[in-house]
Amino acid sequence: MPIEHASVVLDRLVKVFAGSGRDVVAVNDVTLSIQPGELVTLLGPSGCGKTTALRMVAGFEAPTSGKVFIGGRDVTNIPPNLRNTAMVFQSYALFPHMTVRENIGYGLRFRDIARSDARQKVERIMELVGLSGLGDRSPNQLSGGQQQRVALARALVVEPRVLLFDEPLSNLDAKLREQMRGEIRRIQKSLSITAVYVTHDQNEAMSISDRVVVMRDGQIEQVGTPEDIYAKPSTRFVADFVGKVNFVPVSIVESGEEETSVTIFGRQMTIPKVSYNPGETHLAVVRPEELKLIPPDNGFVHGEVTSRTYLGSVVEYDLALPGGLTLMAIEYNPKARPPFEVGDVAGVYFDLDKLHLLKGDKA
Amino acid sequence: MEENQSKRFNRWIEAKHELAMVCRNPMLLATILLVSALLIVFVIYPIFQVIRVSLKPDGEFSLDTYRYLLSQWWLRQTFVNSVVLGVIVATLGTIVGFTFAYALNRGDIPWKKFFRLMAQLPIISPPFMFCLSVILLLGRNGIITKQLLGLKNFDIYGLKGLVLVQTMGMFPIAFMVLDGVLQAINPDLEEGALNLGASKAKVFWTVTVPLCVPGIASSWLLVFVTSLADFANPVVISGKFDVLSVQAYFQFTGLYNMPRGSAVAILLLIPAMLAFVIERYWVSRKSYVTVTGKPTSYRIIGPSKATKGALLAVCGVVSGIILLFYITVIAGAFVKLWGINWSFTLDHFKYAWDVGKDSVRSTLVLSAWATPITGLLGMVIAFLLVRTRFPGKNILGFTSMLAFAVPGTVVGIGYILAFNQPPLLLTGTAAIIVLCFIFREMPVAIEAGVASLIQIDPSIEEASTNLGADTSYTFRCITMPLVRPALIAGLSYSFVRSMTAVSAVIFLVSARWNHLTSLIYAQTEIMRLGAASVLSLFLIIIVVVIFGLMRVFLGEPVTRVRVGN
Ligand SMILES: Nc1ncnc2c1ncn2[C@@H]1O[C@H](COP(=O)(O)OP(=O)(O)OP(=O)(O)O)[C@@H](O)[C@H]1O
Ligand SMILES: [Mg+2]
Repeated sequence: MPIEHASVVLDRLVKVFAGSGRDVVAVNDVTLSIQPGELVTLLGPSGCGKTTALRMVAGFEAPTSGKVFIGGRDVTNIPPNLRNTAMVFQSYALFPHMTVRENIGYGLRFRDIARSDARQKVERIMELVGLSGLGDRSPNQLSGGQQQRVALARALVVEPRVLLFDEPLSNLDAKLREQMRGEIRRIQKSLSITAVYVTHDQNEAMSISDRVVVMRDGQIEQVGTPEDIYAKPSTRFVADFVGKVNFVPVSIVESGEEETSVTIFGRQMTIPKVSYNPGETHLAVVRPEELKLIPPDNGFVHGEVTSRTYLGSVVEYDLALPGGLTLMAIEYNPKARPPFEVGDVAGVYFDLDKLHLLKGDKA
Repeated sequence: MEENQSKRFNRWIEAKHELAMVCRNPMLLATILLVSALLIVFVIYPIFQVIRVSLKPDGEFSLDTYRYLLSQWWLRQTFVNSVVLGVIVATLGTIVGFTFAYALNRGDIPWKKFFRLMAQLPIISPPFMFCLSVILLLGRNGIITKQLLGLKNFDIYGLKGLVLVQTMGMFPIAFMVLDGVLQAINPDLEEGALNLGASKAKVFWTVTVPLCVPGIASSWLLVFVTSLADFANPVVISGKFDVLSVQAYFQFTGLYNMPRGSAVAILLLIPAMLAFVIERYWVSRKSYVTVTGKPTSYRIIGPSKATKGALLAVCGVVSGIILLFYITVIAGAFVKLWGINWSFTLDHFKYAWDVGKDSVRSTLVLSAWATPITGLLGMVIAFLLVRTRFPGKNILGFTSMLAFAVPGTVVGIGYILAFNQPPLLLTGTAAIIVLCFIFREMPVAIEAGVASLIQIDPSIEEASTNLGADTSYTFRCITMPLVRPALIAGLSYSFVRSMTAVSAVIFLVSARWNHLTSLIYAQTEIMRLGAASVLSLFLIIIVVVIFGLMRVFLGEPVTRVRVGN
């Protein structure tokens, strides 16, 4: 199915809702450029403006200022029904008085397509999303997962220039959610449709996206590939939001040609060169799985194990360091006999070669 | 200060954006403009005309008319009478309505279905019917007063007769409000209090009643407005107890004193508007009851035996009176000369058919026009109010609901004054009556529409738009099918109201376009009570038959479509 690839550009988008008490700035100066065929997620906590941004792309909300471009064309003043975007709603928003087939075929009524072609398209898309044989059911005779597929099929069949998802999987149980996100990704890739995907679930965002946009209070915190966002978060907020994290203060002592000498936990050490000035202190982002627990004498620092949680595939440790700092460590493939029990003292070690320091957040 | 300014500034921007959104959607813009124009012409302008005529008796601005009204003690008395009547009926009606609602929801009494029917019957009863029965029962030749008790000088005309018929006719308003409230109060609250050791009486007074207070206040105000605006009952049975609606009618159509008629109408409008605004913007906001949509588990704290007996007695007596009214009218239709010659006859039917067949036809035609337009327009306005944003929406909402508050007398006078010259020369036509029906009955259609729209997930309509449908297509193919039950409820209601309208339509009927109710009034006036009874029966039969047909062809209005997931 050939679909015209379209880029999506948000240009300094602002949306202010005039509330009865106080105005809400839902989206605050968001600029973002999405390549044709790319799947970009908007990730952020509740109320950060993800839905509002998405609705401005669909045309349901008019921006207070700024512009939206789809396929290079300014669509800011184009009504939603003429934008040729297709949205998959959180509530699915299926038409309860129509059958599955009528639901899926609905969007084709507004496109120049012969009736027989339309029927074929509907059948083909039902096969693609795994709904064959359910065409004559009414939506409320379907399971949650099947309803989700109908919503997806209904959006896909019109061959939209952009697919929009607003937390499409949040009504499904965990297992189905993983399966569906895999399918959405597969279909989106095979058709190479440009897609904007809103979620507040970091795992979903990581697993499905080409790029992730982390939002906070209506603004973009960081844009990057899932790997970038996880390994090189640009702010403390992002680091915290996309997974469990330890922040370790690192003081810059002096920078040489290739290395920088720093103090960590009161010890002088060298790390690959960073561009910060001597005297500054920055937070290093150390993921719990990077943190190794070793016998107390060998680590950078040692601390007391305050809790140990066995989760099957991993064991989580909490450590209290002498200075009052706490650290979290995760051990994969836990051994039958744990090396440390609660109350034991353990040494802490991590790889200094890949240390990522936060820019703005001076400790 | 500064923040205030920026807020205003943003509100201004918001308005501008709403306007921009609307302008991008020509169909929506056209609809909003059309609806606004209709409301201005058919709701605002007539009221404005009444005010204008009352203030410009001779083309010059002057307060003379009002000065005159206030200087005449009998006119002052008329005002007082109306208010006193309203207060008494509102109080009694609310008490009876509450008793019924409490008995049916918490009382554990037998024959619930029957009592519920009795508490709703008066709403579809033709106007004049109750006072007709009261005259037949308690009037000068009344079967009770003259035949049974042999009273010579008993006079039911006046305040006591009015209180009786209005209470019987209007307590259902209070019942419906309070029935909804009691249904929505979770019995867990009451049971909880009982568990904590409160006595049943204490639970009633400290839990149930306080939770009902906003509902009680609402009922009281609604019955008050209805009593104030009532024309049919007072014009027949008020005797020397003069009230505003009747006085306005006589000043206007009897004495051709348009400024004075208008001014009296304004005196009627003021308390009615006041009560309406208090109800809408104050009382109904205080409601503690939230409708959860979850059916509450139906456990009833059984009241004590004595309470149960009292509830049953009140409901029984009231229902008995209503039944008696019906039986009396039916009997009246077959008796030669009530109180004098009791022999059986079908003469009244023949006579009534001769004088009434044209009216029956025209009433049906008028209602048939008004009903679907009202339903549709109401739904369109409900859609605008719930689903769209545009500057001035609140004003549009208020205006469309205004007809609830404006007494029919004011509307009738307003329509005569507003539409008696080109380009809108409508007096004497069917159009003026149909339009009057539409704009008077629309609020109920709107309310039904709003109530059902807010239950439907808006993303269903957004999905339609998103897939390429424009607003009008979405409205026709998505919204309308989903709100069908509400639409049918709106249609049924507006049909009944068109069939039973009096207070406004009495000003607007003409020889060619007469209304059954106005014919019943004429027959009652010349004391052809037998014929009036027959015509009332016609009206009841038509209403019931058409109601039934609507059910059969359009479906049950009560069943809810399951929407969303
Ligand atoms: N129609 C509206 N009117 C007023 N305020 C609104 C409206 N829609 C959203 N907001 C406000 O704008 C802010 C952003 O809302 P938005 O729905 O975009 O958040 P979100 O990131 O999608 O959150 P969630 O994850 O909870 O869905 C919130 O503070 C919200 O209250
Ligand atoms: Mg959201």
